[in-house]
Amino acid sequence: MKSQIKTCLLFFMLPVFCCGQRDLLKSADLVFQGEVLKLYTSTIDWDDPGDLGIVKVTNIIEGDELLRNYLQKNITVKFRNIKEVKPGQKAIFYTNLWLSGNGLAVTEIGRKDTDDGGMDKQREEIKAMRMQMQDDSLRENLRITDHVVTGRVLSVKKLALQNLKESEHDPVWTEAEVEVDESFKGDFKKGSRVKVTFAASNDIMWVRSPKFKTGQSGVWLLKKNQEEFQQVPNFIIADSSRFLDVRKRESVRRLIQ
Amino acid sequence: MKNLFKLQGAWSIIFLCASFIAEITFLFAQPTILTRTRYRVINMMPNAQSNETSQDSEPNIAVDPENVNNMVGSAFTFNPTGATATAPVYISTNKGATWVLNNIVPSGNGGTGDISLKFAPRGHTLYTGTLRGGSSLTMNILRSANPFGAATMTQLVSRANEDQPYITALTTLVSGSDRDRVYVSNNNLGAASGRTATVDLSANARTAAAPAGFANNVIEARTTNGQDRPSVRCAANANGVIYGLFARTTASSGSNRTCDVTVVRDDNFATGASPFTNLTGAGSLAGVLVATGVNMPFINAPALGQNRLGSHMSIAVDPNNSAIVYIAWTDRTGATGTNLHVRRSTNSGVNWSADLLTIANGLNPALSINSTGTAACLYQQLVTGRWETHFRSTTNGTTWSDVILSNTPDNNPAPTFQPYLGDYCDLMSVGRNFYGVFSASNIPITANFPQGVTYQRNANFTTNQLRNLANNGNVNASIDPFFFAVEQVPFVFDICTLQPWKCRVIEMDPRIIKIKCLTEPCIVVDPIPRNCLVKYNCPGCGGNNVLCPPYYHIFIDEIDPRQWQFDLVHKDGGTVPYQLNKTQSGIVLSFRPDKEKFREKEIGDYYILFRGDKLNGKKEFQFKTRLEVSDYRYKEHLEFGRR
Repeated sequence: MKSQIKTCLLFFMLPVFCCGQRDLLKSADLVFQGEVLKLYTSTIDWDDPGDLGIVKVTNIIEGDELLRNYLQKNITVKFRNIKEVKPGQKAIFYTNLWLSGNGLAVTEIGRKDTDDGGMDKQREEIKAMRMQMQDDSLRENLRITDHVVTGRVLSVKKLALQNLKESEHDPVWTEAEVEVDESFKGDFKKGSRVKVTFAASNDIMWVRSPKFKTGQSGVWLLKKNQEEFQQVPNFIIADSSRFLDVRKRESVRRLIQ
Repeated sequence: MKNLFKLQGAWSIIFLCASFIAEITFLFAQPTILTRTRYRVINMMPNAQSNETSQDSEPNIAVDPENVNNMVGSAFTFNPTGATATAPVYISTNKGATWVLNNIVPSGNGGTGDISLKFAPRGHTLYTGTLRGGSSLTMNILRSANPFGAATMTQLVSRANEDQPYITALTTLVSGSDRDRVYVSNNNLGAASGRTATVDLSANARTAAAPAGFANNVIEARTTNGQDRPSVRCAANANGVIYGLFARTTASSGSNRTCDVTVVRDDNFATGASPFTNLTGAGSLAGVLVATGVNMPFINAPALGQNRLGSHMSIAVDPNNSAIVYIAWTDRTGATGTNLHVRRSTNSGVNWSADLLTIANGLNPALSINSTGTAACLYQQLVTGRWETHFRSTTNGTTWSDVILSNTPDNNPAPTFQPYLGDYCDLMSVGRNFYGVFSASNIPITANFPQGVTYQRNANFTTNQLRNLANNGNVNASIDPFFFAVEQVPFVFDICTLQPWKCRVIEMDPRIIKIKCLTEPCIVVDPIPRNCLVKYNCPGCGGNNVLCPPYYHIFIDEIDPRQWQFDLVHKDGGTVPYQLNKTQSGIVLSFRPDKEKFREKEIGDYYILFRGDKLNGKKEFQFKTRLEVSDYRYKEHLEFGRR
C-alpha cells in the first residue's frame, strides 16, 4: 500500500505531468521554450480567460514554420491546469495549435520546467526522440506491408474501370508499371515488374496522394486487399505513407531487418 | 422643425434615417426606426496565416441565429501546423469582423473534402457534414456543442462512398423541450438501383450518442441512368415542410449529362413512413420535374474560368410562407459555357415560374429568404476573363437588385487542384440580414471589391501585393474565402461634423457625462476619442509585457440601467463586441479595441450610444464617469487590479 502511495505521489510530482516526454512529443505539434508573463488573460479576445495565460516564446524547438514569427513575442496558452503555473515560470511547452488569428493560441499538452541553460542539449534530445519516433512509425508501416521494393516507373496508363459511380472526386485511377530494382520484403525479384494503381486526379480529395510519372524512382510499400478500394485492381498507392522518396532506401533497409 | 435643431443641446446625435439630411425632418415627424443597407466584405484568412498561398476554395458558413456574433466558416483549408488528425474551421465571435482558425474537424490528412455546416436555430449546437480528409469518399456527420472551444467535433455517422453532404437544421419544441432536426442531403453512391439522391436525417440530434438518430432516406423515386447528380439540397420551414432538390440523370454522352431538375416535399418534418413523398409529379411518382432534359456537363478539369463543371444547385423556402420556394441550378445550352437559372413556386412546389433570372456563365448559386420574405441569390459569373461575385435580391421575384461583391481575374493564381473556386458558395439569413461566403483571388486591389473589403492578412493595397507575416516580403496571390454581410443598420453620423451651424458645443466636463434630451426615447451618441481629451485619461498601451491594446472599462455611476440602454458602435453604426456589467452605483462597459482601429491615447473611433426610456419628463441628466485600463476582462480585472 505504501509503495502504491509512493508511486502515486511520484506520478503527481513529475515535472512533466501527464506522461513521458516521448508521449508528449507524440501528440504535440508545437514545442517551444517560453516564459509565463500573465495569467487569466490572453492576447486573443476570449470570453472565458479562466485557463488562459500569456507566454513569451523564447526558443522554438518544433514548429518553426508557424512559430518563427512569434519568436520573442507573446502568444496565448490554454493551460491544462492553470493553478500549477506562476508568472515568471520558464518551461518547455508541448502544445498543439488551438487558434490562429490576430495572434496565436495553443493548447498545452504538457510542460517541462527549465531554465535558460542547456537549451541546445534539450533541443538535440527532442530532435533525436522525434527521429526515433519517425523510425518507429516507418518500421510499423513496413511490418504491416506485404511487399517492399525499390524500382522505377516504366509506363503509366489510365485505367478504364466499369461500374464505378461518378463523383467530382473521381480518383482517375491510373496504372503505373514499376520495374523492381531491389526487394526488401515479399515475392518480387530484381527485374520483375509490378503494377500499382494511383489516383491521378487533381481533385481536392486526391491532391495529396502520390502521382507517378514514367522514369520516377522510389520505394513502394505494397499491400494486398485494401478494403475501401475493392473495385480497383493492382496494389493501390493512395496515400503518401505508401511511397517514399528513393533517398529513404537505406532507412528502409535498416528498419526492415 | 428648424427650432428642433437649435434646441439640440448635445453636440452629437444618432439619427436613424434612410438617406441623408433631407430625411431628418421626416424622421422627427414620424419617429420610425429607419435603416440603411450596409455591405461588408471581409477576407477570412487570419493575420497569422499571412504567409499562406493555398487554394482555400468551396466555402460554407454557419451563423448562430441566437447569437449572430458567433459564426463558423469552412473552406478547403489545411491545418496550419501540418498535423493530420484535425482540420480547421474559421470562427468569428464578432459578427464576422475578424476570423480565427480552430482545428476541430476530425481528419486523416489535416484537411477536408466537401464540408458544410449549420447551427440549429436554438441551442447553439453546430452540425457539420464532411468528406473526411484522406479517407477517400467517407462522409462524416459531426456535432459540436461549442465550436469555439478546443474540443474536436463528435462523429455521429461515418459512411463510405458518399458525395457532397450538405446540412439543414431546425429546432422544434416537443413536449416542452427543444429538439434539433437535422437534414444532411448527400449523394449516396452506394445506394441501390442508382437512386443516389439521399437525405440522412435525425429528429433529435442535439445530445444523443452516435448515431444520434440519423438514418438515411432515398428521395429519388424514379429510375436513373446510373445515378443522380452530386448536388442534393434541402430547405426546411419551421412548420415542418421540408423540400429536397436534386438532378436525376436520364442519359450520358461524353461529358454531357442529361438531367431532370426535381423537387420533392415532405409536410411533417420527413418523419413518416414514406418521407419526401407529399409532392407528386410525372407518373404519379414523388417529385415534380421542374425542368427536364437539361444538360449538366460533367467536366472534372478547368472548364469555366479555371473551375470545373458538375452540378450547381440551391433551394430556399420562405420562413413565413412554406408555399413559396425558390430553386437555382446551372446547365449548358450550347457547346460551351453555362446558364444559371432561378425559378420560384408559390404553391408548395406544384407549379413553377419561368426563369426569374438567367445568368450566362453563372456558377455556384446560393439562395436564401429572410424574415421579411426578401429572396436573395449569390452566384459567381465569368465575364470576359474575370469572376464576378453577385448578390441579388428581390421582394417580388421579378425585380432584382444587383450588387457586385468581387471582380477578380480568372487566371491569377493558377489552379492547384479542382475545384478552383468551389462546387458551391453559401448564403443564409438571420432576421432581415444576409450572411454569405465565396472564394476568390485575393490580390489586394481596391477596384476588385466594389463594396470595399477588409483584409486580416497582411496586404498592401497601394502596391497591390500580399505581404508576409513579418511584413518584410511579398506573398504570391492565392484563393481565399471571403465573408460578406448584407445588413440593415442604423444610419449614424455626427451632426456637428455635417452641419456644425446646427449644433452648439457641449460642455465637456472632466469625468462627467451630460445628456440633454429632446424627445423620448432619448438617444445620444458619446464619442470616445473626444472623451479621451477631456473626460478620461486614455493612456494607451504603455510599457512592455502588457496587453496591447488593453481592455478599457468605462464606469458610469449613478445611472439607472432600468431607464437606460447602452450600445457600443463603430463610426459607421456597426456594433462592437463589449461586456456590460452592473456595479454598485451604476454600470461598467468593457471592451478591447481592434488592433487596426486602436490609436494611442484616443483608443479609436468608437461611440457609446445611450437610449433613455421612461424618463418621466426629465430632460437633463448628469453621470459621473471614469476609465480603468487593464490587461484583463472585467471579472479578472476586479481580481487582479488595474495597471
